[in-house]
Amino acid sequence: MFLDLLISGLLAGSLYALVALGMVVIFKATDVVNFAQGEMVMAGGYLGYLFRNVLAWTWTTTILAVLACSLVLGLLLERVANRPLMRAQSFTVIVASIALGIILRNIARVIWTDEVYALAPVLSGQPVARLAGVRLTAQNLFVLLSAVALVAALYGFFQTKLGKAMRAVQQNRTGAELVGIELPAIFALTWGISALLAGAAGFLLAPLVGVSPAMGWIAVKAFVAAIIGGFSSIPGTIVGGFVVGVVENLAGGYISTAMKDIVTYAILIGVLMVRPHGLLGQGLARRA
Amino acid sequence: MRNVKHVASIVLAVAIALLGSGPGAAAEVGVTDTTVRIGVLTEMTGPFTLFGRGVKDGWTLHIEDVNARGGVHGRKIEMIFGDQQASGAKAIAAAKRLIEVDKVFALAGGGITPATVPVIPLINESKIPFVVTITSNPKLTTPLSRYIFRPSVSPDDVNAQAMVEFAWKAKGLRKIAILSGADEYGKGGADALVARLKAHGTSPVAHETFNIGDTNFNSQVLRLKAAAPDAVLVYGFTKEVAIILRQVRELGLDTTVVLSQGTGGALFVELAKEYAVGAYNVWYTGPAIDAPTTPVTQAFWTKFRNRFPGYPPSVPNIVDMVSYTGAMVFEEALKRAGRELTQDKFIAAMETIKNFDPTGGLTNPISFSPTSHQGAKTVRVYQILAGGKTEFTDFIYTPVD
Amino acid sequence: MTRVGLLLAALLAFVALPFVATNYGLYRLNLMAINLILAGGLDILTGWTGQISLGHAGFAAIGAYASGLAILHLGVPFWLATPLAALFCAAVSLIIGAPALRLSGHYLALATFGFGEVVQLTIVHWESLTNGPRGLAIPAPDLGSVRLDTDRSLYFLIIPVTAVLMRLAWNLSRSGMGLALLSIRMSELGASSVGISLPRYKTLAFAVSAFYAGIAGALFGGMVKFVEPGAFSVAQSILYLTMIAVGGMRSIPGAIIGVVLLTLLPEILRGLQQYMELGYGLLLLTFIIFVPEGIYGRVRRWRSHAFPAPSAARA
Repeated sequence: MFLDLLISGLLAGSLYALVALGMVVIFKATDVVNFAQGEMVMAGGYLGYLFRNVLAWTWTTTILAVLACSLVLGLLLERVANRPLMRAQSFTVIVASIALGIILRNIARVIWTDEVYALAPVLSGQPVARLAGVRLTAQNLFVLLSAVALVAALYGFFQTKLGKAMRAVQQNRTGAELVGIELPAIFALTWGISALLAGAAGFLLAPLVGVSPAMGWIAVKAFVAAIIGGFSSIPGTIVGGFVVGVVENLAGGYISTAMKDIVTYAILIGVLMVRPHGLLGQGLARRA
Repeated sequence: MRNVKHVASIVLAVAIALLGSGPGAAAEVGVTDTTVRIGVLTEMTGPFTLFGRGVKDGWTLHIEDVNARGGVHGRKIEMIFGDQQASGAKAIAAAKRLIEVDKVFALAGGGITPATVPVIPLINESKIPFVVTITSNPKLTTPLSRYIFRPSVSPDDVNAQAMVEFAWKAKGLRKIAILSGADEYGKGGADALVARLKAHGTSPVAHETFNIGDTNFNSQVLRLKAAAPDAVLVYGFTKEVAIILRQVRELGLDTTVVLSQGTGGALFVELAKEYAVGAYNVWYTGPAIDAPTTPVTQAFWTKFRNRFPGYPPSVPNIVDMVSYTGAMVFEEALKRAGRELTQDKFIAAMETIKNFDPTGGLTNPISFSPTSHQGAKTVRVYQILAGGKTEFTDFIYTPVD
Repeated sequence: MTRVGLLLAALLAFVALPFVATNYGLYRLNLMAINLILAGGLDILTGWTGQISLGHAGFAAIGAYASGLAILHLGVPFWLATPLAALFCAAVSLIIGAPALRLSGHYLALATFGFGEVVQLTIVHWESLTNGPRGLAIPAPDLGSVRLDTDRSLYFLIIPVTAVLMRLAWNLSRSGMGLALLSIRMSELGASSVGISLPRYKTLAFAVSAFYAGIAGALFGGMVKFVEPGAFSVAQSILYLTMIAVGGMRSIPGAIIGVVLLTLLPEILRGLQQYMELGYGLLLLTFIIFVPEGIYGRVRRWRSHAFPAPSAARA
């Protein structure tokens, strides 16, 4: 059972890591924990459903459209909910992002009701490989490869001029401003990229869990992953995601299934109390 | 100065709070020469709006028909909606408003158990009839309340018994495991499953629970696998169970799966896709699930979609169906009570209804009596086949009272 | 009108009210009063001390279950179970609060969210103690030989308790401690540099707000006579935060406005119910961006512009 718990935990964890990626990108550049990240993931799921099931586009067109629309959504949300609050207190920013999540979730509910929608997987769900007792499907592999591709693309982006400007803002906001980097543009870009990552995550997640307004709840696990990575390190966050997946499996398998989620939250609270900058990140300058 | 401000805001608050509440008077009957007023109490907002929508639309669909025909004994039926918001406190508030301010003749609908069950004492105190169309908790009909009727939805204890008997008798399986949701629906079901197994002199070889909203059920599935059961009885709702069945397949848990009515219906079959093939599901309405595959369900489907276009393809579903026929039962009782309408006569009329099947098979025949307010108790089982098809087995369960 | 005259009139209104209102109106009023207790306590922590809490429904849950279980299993009378449960909440807040007080902003938000979830999950899964998701039926409160099981009798318990607690909160905010809390909110660095002990005051604020939430939870249990874990979710915690953010923090009238508005919002939007949660999210976002001082704060600003006080320092 241990090996099965481990492998399936890594698979589950890869999804948490993917969702957490977008959170960390935003936090590093803007010092904001985006409590609406889960809803941005949900949006990706609905967009996939809209383009594929309702408009019957091809997979390639659907994927491109989901990514493009997610990017635009991120830009829009940044303009509406982040830009006016650039100089506000953290309390205001937190409450604003919570409110944003509520709004996005309820827009989905008003349009599509609380029903769960089925989005077919891109590749088949038939098992193609076995690792210990775990059957891997083509879709599992597709998800893993896509996640790797997204992380690689992100790092590739960071090497570009624009990407470097983003990293500069992440490291030292005042310094970046002083050398002439336009903060609002970078913030918009950051949210756009984060939304793109979230949308991709939602699209990959949807065939596995169904499309519904409650899809965003997975962000809770992503928060824990990001905390473990200290919100400041992308590799740390990815490791964090795997850790969450494996630990919740092991806790459920060996302690009891009732304790599974309590253990996850206990980790969240524990890490926050002992090392708020994460097990793997460095300390961060916080917004006053 | 500050005290005046405080007092002023308090007075303002109180005034607003009491807006719309007149002096308390003895409850009227909610009946005029031309109308009968009923309050539909269900989840209109909140996380379980899924069910409330079906209650609202199902009742609306039929009541509009009734009114188009001129009503019952010259009285049209007026519906006012109350919102439980998935909370006992808010359900009580909404019920009080319907009873005391809107002065309704009867209540209808019901919603999820943790919100609806706390309303029961208020119903009994106010002596108002309540026709429940979707709440499956046994407490609504046991102990018997003179005022509460449940036409179609079979209570969770009966569903659970059917699941156990199907595995035990029909399939001859003995090593039975339980997987239940950690909400009141799952817990209520699990308790009934365990009780029934105990009546057979045995207990589950494994009993795991899962949290609602979770997406990772690997540890539950693997623990069940370690217990090597012949059958797993799953008591939960569509969203989580669809994911569970996928993980059951991925993690190699090969066993007979029996599902509760929470996953019954066409939506689950569509959502769980190939992972549900071979699973069995209990079902408490007629010999067809809620997909428009038989003439009766097709007729209902067409009528519903004409009235409510623009819904997702999974609607109408069983909630709409039982609410629709529940409204028909309500109309029938109004007819039998006669022109001189009182709540007592309505209750007596309900208790005369026997083998009532107005749609020709959309739901099972409904019978009430002075000692039983549970309209239909028969539970069937269907199997999910490849290609999204379903096939009813021969198994039928009727509890012995 | 003299001050005594005003008080007498208020007292008369208070006593006469339940005899002219419906049970439904009284029930609503009682519920609002309970929400006010919780919101008022939360205001001390968030409005005055600037510490965000996304898990306060967890304290209300502890209060409701602790007092309910004490009444059911230990035979403790309601009037004793309630304050004991509230003290228990305060104690719990010390345990989780102490390390959490080093956190701020987002980290505190996440930690308090985690706390609220752990409380809810514990209630759900510790079935032998709490009956899990099926909930607990709680008897109506009895004070000595009097059983309070009508809306009217509950009114006579809940409203005075609310009034006393709110008065105490008001006194606190006007005291030296209130100033200390406010200074912490405005600048932790500044406050500690003038000798205000951050851990001591933050802990106190946390404990007081947890105590208030515990009382609110216990009263809620007694009023509804049924507690179940679903009533104490993160959505509830966010609702309380919304009440004080929209109504106006750091003021009693602000808390009252917030509580009344958000408790009655579903009624105001009757018929448009499917848009209610969306409306509530939009309300929160709009207010937090454009009217961060809340409705009452805006009223205060308008008043001081329209009627400038000769010596503003006195207010």
